[in-house]
Amino acid sequence: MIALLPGWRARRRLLAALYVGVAAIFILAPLAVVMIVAFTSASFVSFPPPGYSLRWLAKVMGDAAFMRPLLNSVLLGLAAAAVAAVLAVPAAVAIGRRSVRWSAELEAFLLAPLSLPALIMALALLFFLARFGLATSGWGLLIGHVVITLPYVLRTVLAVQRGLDASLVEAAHVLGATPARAFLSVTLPLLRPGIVAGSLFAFLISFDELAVALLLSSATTATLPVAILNHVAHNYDPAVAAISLVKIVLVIVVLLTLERLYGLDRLMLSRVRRA
Amino acid sequence: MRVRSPLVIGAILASALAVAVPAGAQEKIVVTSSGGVWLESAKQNFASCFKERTGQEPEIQTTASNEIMAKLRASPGKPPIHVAVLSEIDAIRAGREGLLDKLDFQKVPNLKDVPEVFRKQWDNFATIQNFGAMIVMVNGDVVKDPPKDWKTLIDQVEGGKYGKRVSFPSLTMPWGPMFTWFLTTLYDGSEDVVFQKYKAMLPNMAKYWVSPVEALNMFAAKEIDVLVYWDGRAYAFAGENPWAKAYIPEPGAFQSAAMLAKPKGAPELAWQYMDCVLSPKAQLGHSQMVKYPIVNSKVVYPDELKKILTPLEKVRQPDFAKIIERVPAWLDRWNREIR
Amino acid sequence: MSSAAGRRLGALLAVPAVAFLAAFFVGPLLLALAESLGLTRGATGTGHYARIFGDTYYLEVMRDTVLLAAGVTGAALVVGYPYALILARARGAAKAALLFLLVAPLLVTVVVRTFGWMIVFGRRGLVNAALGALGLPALDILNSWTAIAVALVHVLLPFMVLSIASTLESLDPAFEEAAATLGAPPWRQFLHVVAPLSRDGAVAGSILVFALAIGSFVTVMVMGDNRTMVLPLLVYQQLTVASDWPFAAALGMVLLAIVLAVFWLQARIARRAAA
Repeated sequence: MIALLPGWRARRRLLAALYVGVAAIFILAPLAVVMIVAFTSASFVSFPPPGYSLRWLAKVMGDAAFMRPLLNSVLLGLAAAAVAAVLAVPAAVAIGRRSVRWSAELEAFLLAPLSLPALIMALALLFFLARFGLATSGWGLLIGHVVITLPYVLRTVLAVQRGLDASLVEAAHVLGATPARAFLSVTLPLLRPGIVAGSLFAFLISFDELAVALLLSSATTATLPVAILNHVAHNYDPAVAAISLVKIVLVIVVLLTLERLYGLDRLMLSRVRRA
Repeated sequence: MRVRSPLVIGAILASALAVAVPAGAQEKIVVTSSGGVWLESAKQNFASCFKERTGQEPEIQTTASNEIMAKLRASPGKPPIHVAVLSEIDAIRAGREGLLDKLDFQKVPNLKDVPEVFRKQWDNFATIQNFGAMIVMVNGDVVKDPPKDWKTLIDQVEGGKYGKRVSFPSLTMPWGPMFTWFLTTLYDGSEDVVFQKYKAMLPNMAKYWVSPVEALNMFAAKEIDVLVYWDGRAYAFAGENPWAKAYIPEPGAFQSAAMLAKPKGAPELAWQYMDCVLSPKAQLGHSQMVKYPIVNSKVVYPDELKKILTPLEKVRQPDFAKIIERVPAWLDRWNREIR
Repeated sequence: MSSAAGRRLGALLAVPAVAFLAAFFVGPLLLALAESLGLTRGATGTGHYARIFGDTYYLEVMRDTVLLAAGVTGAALVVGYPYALILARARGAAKAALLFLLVAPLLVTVVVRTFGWMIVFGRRGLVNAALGALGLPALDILNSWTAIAVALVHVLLPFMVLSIASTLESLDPAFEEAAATLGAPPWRQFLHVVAPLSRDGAVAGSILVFALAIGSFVTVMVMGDNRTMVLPLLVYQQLTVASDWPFAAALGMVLLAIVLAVFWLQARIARRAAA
């Protein structure tokens, strides 16, 4: 029986490698086209490009019309993810424990922003916030993105919470930890994979969000998706392919830095069970 | 370590929050523009003139007509935008809804050189700043002898002469209703005939395009050989790609335009910016950059520009009041029948 | 004492999130609802709703909208589950690479991503060139429901995979090894150890993907054709072409109701399965 194990494991590895290979082709094929177009020397998008150059990369990286929105989007994404996590994680803990009455109803309510179409949400939020003079202040943009991203953090944290052993938290209580201490030193580390995944979702959603950003941003707070939409509406050049490449490189750098500094495993894993 | 790393992350996020939400609104005058070369033209031609005259920099926001309308409607009398560039239909709607100030000929002296036809339909609530037309672009390697007029083109598409390698604008894109109106003028004003034609062409339509990018995407990827598209951008594309040929079929094309307007409640300085936009120097500079015709009659186009600009006598201005009234019914009919 | 204190603390934990959404989600939502009923224009009426439900056209669009979202969710679950298993087990640089691969599609703006698909799946695209070389008939799937679904799965996959992976992260490989050592065949290990643990992750991922798919219209617009109509695209048309905000709001409310109904159904099934 034991002797069979290595063979089985090798087969599983081979299968996994094969699967990842096919998935990588599916995921990367359309993106590779865009990456190649980003290096075109022509003024128009075409494939394969007639020649190669760095002119579009140089153009977008030196163009405040793209770089300021890129910075805005990064900051807004971080801020929205942070606020959404601060609001959603405690709520998920409350719901997941089922110690709260109406936990099912609470969950439904907190997930409800997922079900309202973004266009309607954006327009209604614009009219709503305009009454308080918040519509173009930058706060409106953050509020809108927190409303949209909160359910993502909530749902992923909840998923992890439900799979967890409640007895660990109970044990902390029994051992005399105050609720706050138990929350900080037991519950939070256990929920880490859910918090990381949820915050990542929140960032990605905010980073790519268009409807709310279109209506609630101003000239100074315009985000990258807004800049890109307004660029492609009346221009047809490879700048948008180049800016996509810039984003991809940015994310690779961030991932590598996180891996070096913290180790992605540690960031994404539950802390407690390793201790 | 357990305590420190969340603290560090928290500090980073908190500072991101502080930077992401700038404090206090700026007192600058806010004007709008499309992106890319339009934004560059607005900076170079309009904003520089404004700065020369007032010493101030305008804040240029790249945004589209729909979004401007939503923002004006949400804060009537306290507009977050002070000079708006709107679509023709939105400019009429905004005028009717009381969201705009009537053009002030005293404060915008250059208006006297703008022919009345460019503002009449808007009841002087807005003026055209530049216009264009929707024409035909073909892959010259495949379509050697493109039809000279619209009706022949439509019949040939219907008959399958180009296979499923044609793209016309959809009624559901922002200028689709105007194109539909233009087609009705070719068929004695009959909507029914136009919808029959739309339906008859459907099997040979790679797609009725909805976004301008997807249209050029298809053409550039050589998924299609015949494309109905904006003149300025078609000529620019054909200039770069010798295989592409752009031309105006008979009897011309419909006029589409960018409308300039001052929202009600915007500061007086907005007039100064509008006067800059309409000044002969800025108008010529704008036309040279975006490759579209402009409206100040004092401007004399240089020859190389004259060759590619659709002349005024070739374009017909749509009857916008009628179109606004028909849009809901057309949209409904399009969704149900053309599928 | 500990349980009563825990319950009180539990309730308090949810307060900030509930308060935030009560202000910034319910407010705009009520505004949109009022608009759809004509309340802001001095008239009250359910005319828009009667128009939607009294017309087979709109009912067909609703059906197609739900089918598309359900299909995309199912496909993302099937494609994403193995990916999540591999991702959760990967360590170090491999994990970073898999994570990057997953989020890459989200970094490439939809309009240029579409150009990529056109080059891959176009009538003269890469896939057809490959098929032609093998002597197989060409595919014509651009601008169809298939194309829309493929493009949506491509970009929504991270939401499924990371939701599942985050619940698998807390799975101790020692469990599986123990099971294997004890002679349990791989499928039994999976069924009794892995599947139960990841069930809530799969539910969370499905909820997120379903909500994202049912609300998407840009992808439907650029990857589809005249036959592929969904509710959010109707909302977009009403807002951009017809400028009919009340009818758009009514369509939005219908979409909201559909998604909430699906969530409710899911919760019921989950509760029954748990019982």
